[in-house]
Amino acid sequence: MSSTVERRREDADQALLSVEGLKTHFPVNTGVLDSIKFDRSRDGLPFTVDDSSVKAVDGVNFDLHAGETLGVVGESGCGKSTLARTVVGLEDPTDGIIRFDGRDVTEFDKEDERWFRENVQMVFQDPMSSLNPRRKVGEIIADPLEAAGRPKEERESRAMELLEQVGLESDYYGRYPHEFSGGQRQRINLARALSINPDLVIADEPVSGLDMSVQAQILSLMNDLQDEYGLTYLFITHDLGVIRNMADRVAVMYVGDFVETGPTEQLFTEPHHPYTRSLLDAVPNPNPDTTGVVAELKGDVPSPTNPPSGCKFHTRCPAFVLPDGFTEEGYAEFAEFRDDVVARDLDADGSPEVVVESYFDRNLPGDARRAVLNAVEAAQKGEWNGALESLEAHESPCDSVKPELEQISGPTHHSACHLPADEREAFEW
Amino acid sequence: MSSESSTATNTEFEAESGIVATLKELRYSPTAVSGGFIVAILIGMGLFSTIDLYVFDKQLITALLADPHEMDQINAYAPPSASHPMGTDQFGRDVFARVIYGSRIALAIGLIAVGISFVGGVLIGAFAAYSGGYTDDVLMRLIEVLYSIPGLVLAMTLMAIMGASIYNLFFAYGIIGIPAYARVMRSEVLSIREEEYVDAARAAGLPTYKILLREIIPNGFAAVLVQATLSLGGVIIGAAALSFLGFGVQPPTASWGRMLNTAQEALLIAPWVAAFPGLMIFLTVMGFNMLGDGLRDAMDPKTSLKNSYDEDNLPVPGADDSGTRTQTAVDDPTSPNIDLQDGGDD
Repeated sequence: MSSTVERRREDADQALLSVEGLKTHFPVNTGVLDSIKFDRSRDGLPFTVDDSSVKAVDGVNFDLHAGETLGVVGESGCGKSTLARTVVGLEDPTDGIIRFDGRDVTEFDKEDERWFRENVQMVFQDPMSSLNPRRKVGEIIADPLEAAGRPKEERESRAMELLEQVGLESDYYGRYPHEFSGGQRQRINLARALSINPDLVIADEPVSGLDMSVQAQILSLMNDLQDEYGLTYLFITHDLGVIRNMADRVAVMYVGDFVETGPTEQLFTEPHHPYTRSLLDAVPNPNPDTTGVVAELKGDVPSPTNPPSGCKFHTRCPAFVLPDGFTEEGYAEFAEFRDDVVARDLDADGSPEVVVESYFDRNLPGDARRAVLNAVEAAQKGEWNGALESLEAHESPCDSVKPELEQISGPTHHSACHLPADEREAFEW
Repeated sequence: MSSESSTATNTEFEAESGIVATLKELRYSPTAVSGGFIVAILIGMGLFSTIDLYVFDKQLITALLADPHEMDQINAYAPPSASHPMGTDQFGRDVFARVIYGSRIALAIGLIAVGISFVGGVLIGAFAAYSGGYTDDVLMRLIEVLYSIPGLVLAMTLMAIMGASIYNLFFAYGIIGIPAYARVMRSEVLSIREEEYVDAARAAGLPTYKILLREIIPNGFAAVLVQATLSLGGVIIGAAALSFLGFGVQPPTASWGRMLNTAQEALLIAPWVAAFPGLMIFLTVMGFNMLGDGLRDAMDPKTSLKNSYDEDNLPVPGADDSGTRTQTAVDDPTSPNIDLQDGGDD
């Protein structure tokens, strides 16, 4: 056990890893020339600059204390892997602070970088491609030790020791990766991450490439190693069963953001965020007597390049908060009208009544109708901001106000949703 | 007799990828085998002349044929005969001996120039692709500038600047070859750098040069190796052309290009002086190209040179190693076709 962990045990208040407002964006167009687009309709020069970016991770906050396991779940493409890669330093964060052991990771010089590498290691997802086919597994395992400048004899003996610890044989030192099965390769991956005795291991879907029985073996091995070395895991997965087994705390991620965090048992039994509930609903039930799974979530994850306004989940949310007097269809029309106002391009001309008729097939509540008429009038005068203001009172909080993570129940259960904190159905899982 | 041991171990190598497997598969390509045969003879000639020149001071070749540098004016332009199998040139020097000594120069130019291009191209290409961004752009545009100048013209210019010597010839042809290798390597590395094991090496904290040399370059080697064998012939022709034009190897060193140059004065009265060096250049280039073609086919994952099922090559039950099997073939007259099998495979 390394001394840093022991020291931190005494000082339990300080988080081992603390992430504040972390953002990782990838530009859609690489380079200046690529981002210039031809646009005929524009006044003046017919070019626009497209500087949009994929907001893979967009404002994530969390603290990870020594010895605990934080599980991050979410759909494909929600930014889980990018979060892991950013924390470990494989991607540069666009904004935000990553503190490891109280020190800002992004400001590290070479010496600090080395210290960081000795304490933070990563386990990769794909057991087939994460080992170099041209190198002996013993040497691969000892890579972190080599990077730390340990002598060759120490590296060799440590690699053999580790091979045995992860349930392989030390004679396998000189074998090549293709001689191993998927599960064995993932053990080698684990051994590589552990060779330098790190405090924090970031595991990016470590078992999703393996079959069920091997998954269980790897997970229990990871648990054993955590007990033995006091490891801290940041565990990324899309498998809720795996996360329930492994994690002390769970964070649910949606389009680059955490929407709900909490202790594992609480999150699984009393989920608050509709997204968490939908995810839990989508888990197949092995009981043959119950009816099948009804997928509540429809459609795809929205594009992280241009995420929805307000709560990012509102486009698919089964518990969308409708303003007073609106029906679901009526609000959809209202939202469409509002989007056109935001885009400053109404679809119809003529008197305000005609425009309103062309947008709305259904009856609007009286005051909402008045607000829409005012908005059309303002828009036709070119006062687009005024038009938006008059609509504001009738917007749903879900698509206008971005919810923050708020305490739900217990000190560590947080959810980012406009639903009241006590409106929380008990959940059978 | 080695066929049994190789069939027995073949299954183990099946799973192996890359250079070793490629070389193993080459055995099934008749083109590559004949190309390899020609190249092997050439290398034999080159080794012989080098050893003869430095260790025995041309005693071996003098004993066998004649001293390649010794002039004999009386016998100038003698036609091929028993004492001079390829005739003699205008100074009465034995053409055969000079052809053998010329192989040394041709091979040296081929190997050293290709070596320079190979190392330079692989390093530049891999570094450019791994770094990406502006480094990649700048490096590759510079490489393309080099690529846009015709090779022979660039070589002549370099030789004119640096002076005609064999070392400058190596250097000039080495520089000219770099762009082709750099481009092949770059395209390989562009896909390799996305592999998870490269990320893993970065996460482990290995320095960039180790990632390049250990994780990336060895995995992209195969395609560049084909490029190397295919361009060897071209480099040898190019060097011969430079020598022919008078820029390359200087007399009295025997080089095929230089021999062709001097032979053109007497092409009608003594065609053998030009024919044999020309034939050697032709054979050499053909040998390397055939080997390269075979390598390229062997490397293509979609085709297999090896027949999926070969009736004559089935493993015989009960006979494990070549020793015992030969024994049974000799002792047991009832199994004559086992003996046949032993010899037929190599």
